[in-house]
Amino acid sequence: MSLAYRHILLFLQLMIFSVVSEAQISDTLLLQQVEIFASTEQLHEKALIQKIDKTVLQAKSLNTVADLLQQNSGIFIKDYGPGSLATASFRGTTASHTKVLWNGVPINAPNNGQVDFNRLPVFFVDEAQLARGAQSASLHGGLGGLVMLNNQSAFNQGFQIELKQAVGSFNSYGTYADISLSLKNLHLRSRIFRASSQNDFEYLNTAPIPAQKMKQEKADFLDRGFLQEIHWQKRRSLLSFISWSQWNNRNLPPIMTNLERGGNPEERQDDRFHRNILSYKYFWSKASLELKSSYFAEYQHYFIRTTSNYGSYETVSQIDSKNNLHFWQQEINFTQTFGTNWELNATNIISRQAAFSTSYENKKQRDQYALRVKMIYQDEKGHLLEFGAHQDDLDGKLMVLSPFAHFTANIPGTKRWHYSVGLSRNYNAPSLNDLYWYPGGNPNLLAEKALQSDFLLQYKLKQENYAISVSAGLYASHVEDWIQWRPTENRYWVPENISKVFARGAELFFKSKYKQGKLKHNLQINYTFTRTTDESPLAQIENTQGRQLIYIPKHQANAAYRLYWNQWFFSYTVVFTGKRNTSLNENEFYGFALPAYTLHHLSLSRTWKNFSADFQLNNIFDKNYQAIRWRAMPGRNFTIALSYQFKKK
Amino acid sequence: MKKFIYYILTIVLITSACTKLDNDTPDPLPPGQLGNGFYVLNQGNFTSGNASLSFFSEDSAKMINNIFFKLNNAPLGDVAQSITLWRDEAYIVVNNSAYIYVIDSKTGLFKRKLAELQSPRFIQIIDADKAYISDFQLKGLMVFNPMNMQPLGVIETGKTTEAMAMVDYEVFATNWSSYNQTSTNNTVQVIDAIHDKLVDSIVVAKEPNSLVVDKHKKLWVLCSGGFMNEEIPALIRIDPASRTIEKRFNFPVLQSSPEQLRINKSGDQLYFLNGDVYAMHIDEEQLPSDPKINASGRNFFTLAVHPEDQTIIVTDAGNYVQNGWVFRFASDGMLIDSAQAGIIPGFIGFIN
Repeated sequence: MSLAYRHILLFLQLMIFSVVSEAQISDTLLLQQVEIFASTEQLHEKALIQKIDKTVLQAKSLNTVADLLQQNSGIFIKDYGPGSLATASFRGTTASHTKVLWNGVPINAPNNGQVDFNRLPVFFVDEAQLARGAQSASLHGGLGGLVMLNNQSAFNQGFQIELKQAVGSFNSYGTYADISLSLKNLHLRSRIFRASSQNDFEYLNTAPIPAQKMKQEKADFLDRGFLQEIHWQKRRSLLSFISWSQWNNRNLPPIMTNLERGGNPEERQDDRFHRNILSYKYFWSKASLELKSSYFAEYQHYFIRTTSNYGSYETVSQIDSKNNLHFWQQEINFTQTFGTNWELNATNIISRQAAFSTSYENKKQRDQYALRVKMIYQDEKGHLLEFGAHQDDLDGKLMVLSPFAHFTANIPGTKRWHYSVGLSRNYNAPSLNDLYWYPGGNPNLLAEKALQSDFLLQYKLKQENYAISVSAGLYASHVEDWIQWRPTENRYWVPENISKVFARGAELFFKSKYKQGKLKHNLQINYTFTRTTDESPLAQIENTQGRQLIYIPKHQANAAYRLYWNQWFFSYTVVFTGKRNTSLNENEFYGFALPAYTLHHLSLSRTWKNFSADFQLNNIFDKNYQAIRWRAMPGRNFTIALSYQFKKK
Repeated sequence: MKKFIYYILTIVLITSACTKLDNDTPDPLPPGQLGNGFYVLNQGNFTSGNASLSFFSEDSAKMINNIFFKLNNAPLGDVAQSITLWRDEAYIVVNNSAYIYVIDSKTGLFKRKLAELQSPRFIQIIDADKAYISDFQLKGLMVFNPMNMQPLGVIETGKTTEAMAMVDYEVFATNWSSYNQTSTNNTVQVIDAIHDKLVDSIVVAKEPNSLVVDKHKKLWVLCSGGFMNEEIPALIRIDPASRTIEKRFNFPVLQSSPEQLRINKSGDQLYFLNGDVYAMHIDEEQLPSDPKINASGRNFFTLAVHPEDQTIIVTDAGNYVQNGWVFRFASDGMLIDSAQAGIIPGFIGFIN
């Protein structure tokens, strides 16, 4: 299908939507329209969407999204250390199976399909939600799941300014500013931050003989970012422009076994990105139409060099890898309600990924044309049915049709018990690196295809001074054509559609609120059990069938207790990460396995009129641990922040 | 207030449950004489720091894995490249950690180390006071004293260096890696081991990866033809005295990558890997067409010939992410036994 043809289709679709919608126009005010869609959002809470509390977002505003999710969700963060790479994976899948949408547009890098969660500041996020399984599929998410990070417009709020200065262990500093002007029709908001750390923490290095305490070196980073929002509303229209630019510079420290390399090795990564979304939304009484144009540009520069130990100190090894990545997306989204129970949502997307990389032989690009249709039914009895399908076309090739359906209802005879059943088929296209990496990229790779099912049981109790919500779920996912890089008779590795992965497990989420006079207690517990195994014939031949895949913990849990009292806020968080295998051996040797570890963190804050102070103490018990084998992690550390807030209506 | 206590109790319960799961029990090995056998150096995965050392006891016909960690309570490092046994010691070159560990070859206990190297590959002992280290990135050979592990300098060779062999105090070092050089990686550099000086360079074929010396003091060099199979692979015989090529055997298939050239103790039978194991007498006039040992789906990775009984030992790296295997074959190619080793079992080192 040519691009021109797709544009024509898109235009026709837009025209049809406009004609259909024209009949629905009424003079109702915009604010009333918004409520219709808010009801959908409430319904989603019943199913498997996890929304991070706003108070948590505020409390973690100086942290990265990696920290936020590690302590407040059931997803697994693979963390290479402070300032280094951190990826997220759901339900035993990999980082490239986690899609991240920023204001509805994917920010996964086109070259490796991943997102570095240590480069996402919570300070730039107004709303964070997670979706799994069929819910992820219904929201254009990945095979594993979906992380949605949004910015929100707010009108008639007046002038607001917030300034924060943070100082922490290991020469860490953070400066944050948020200025917002919110008028009746116009909302302007600018956010800027600068975060840096020397990361020179002390740790016990057990690699040398004998083991010794060392200071982490060459792990410093400097991140700077700017987020600009412009929202303008007029009667039934909402026009928004959001622009996010960030510059990230970091040194990459060697692993603990490689600290005595000669030649003054230097390894660093310097990235920058610019992400821009222009959207226009028009509301009718029972419908809305959104047009969204996005352009993202990302520049990645990886550099490693060693110089000669002897003589002229010339460069003896150097890799200077540069990636210039571009992403364009045009999206039309139409929502129409029918009567009081039905809602139709249709989305049409045209996008292009382009990459200029020193790792590819020449410029590579990929065009996507996607059509997504969804129907939602809801009624007063608490039934929610959502079903639909996606059909994508990548470079003229139709991908597998991806239908999904999930149903939520009260258990008959009960008020507080709900169940939810979900079924979906989804796919994951190979990344540009999988296709075109030189040498080894395999342009004949097929997309990974998953068949997913969920079952969730939920209990909700809400009384005057307390509320409890417990969700217990089971899931299973069969992924065909799982991409795996394997050695070949040539000495480089090649990705192939080999594995047939079966990921299954259980999830438990507990949330409670209790009000006791001026005291408010919150307790939240997340637990996940994950079994992910390769069931392919090759795995049978290689005798790895049924073994847990590398770096996927079977058990993972976190618990957070929060206490609010007048101007005080206190929280205590426990994060447990189960044992992880670093190979596919049946019995991992103790010297290479990664034992389970538990980290404890607390934070305390106090507000005085326009000022507030925050104190965070991380890894309270100074636990010596490794999240990735031989990657040093910090012991006990703290952050103190002072904030100034000013509001004028 | 009761409910508040309930909250706190829940936290404490979760915390204590999680802390219990933290424990992991080590399994150390009591030090002692290892007896007769050979070491298997398991490379491990690049930047994973999971290289390891195994010891195959010929007395019990059993493999002891992770022997270095168990005896010395430390990992071997990142990408273990080669092991050289000399007198009662073994010199283990750990490439990506850029150090050399010396162990007592009879007990496996750590003795000393030399660190801050560039990208070390192999060791050639010259005498008790001098040894050379080849390097993947450095255009030269590093010289050090094996007794006290003191660096003695660098011999500039103009090219990077890989496998080495010594004939009459001349060291022949292959230029396998094309790193850090603009010239083609297709030579054998000749170094005067008395004066530590480059004296000649012999053009062979692309990527000379291994070399051996036969009973006539002839040098045999195996070239794989290049990382991207740019050239036809070749086996080349050199007369070290005149430094000239005497014979060249071209492999029939461009896409093949022969490597791991080895020779038996009597110096008349060559062995190499080209997917399968091949054997060739030094007087043969053509390359063997049939393998001595068929890989039969196994991922043969390295090869060694036992200096005493001519047993052929082959490692199988499997899928590179789980423990590989070591196979022992009799000199006629019949399988004797096999044992599991570590991740990517590579270089074999026989106890003297």
